Amino acid sequence: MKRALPLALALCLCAAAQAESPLDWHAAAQAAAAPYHNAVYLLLRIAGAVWIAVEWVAAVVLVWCYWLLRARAARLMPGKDH
Amino acid sequence: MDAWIQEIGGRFGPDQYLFWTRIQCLLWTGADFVIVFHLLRIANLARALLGRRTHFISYIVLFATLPLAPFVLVAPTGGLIFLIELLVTVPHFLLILYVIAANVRVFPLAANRLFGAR
Repeated sequence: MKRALPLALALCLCAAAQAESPLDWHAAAQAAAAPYHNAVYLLLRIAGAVWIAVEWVAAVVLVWCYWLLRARAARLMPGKDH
Repeated sequence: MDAWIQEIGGRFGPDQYLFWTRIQCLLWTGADFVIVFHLLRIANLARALLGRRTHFISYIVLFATLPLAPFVLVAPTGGLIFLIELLVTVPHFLLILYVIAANVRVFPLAANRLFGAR
């Protein structure tokens, strides 16, 4: 074990001298993960589209309710400006 | 599955994400505006039926948020888009809460007047 330690240390130093910097490793990892991040963002946008469709349906229903109530009020109280 | 995710992820980049975010923000703001505007109209219809003072400043607050919405199209980063949307949609949400809270007794009385037994 004690004889193997200097050898292991020398091997590590050689590997470190030849290896790229940690910043390169980080950039390579980010580039590899990019398609997965992009797919998640696409799913978020699809979910957003569904939510917006629900909101617009609610908006149309509310507009329709307003005109129904206004017509009802006009019939019950003719002559009064609503 | 992995190949499918790689294919989709390779085609949908940060530029496309920002583009569709801008479009969706405008559509979301538009829906919010229509909802709050007609909620105010319904509340004012109910208040007018009961002879109460109608909301006015709420309309001013609502229309004051409109000029900010187009800036979403030119915002350069997602963070700025998020900030603009906060400035637009938070007042809308607060207006909805205010109108409901201010008319929690008005709505049932007006509904009774419109649909109740004569």
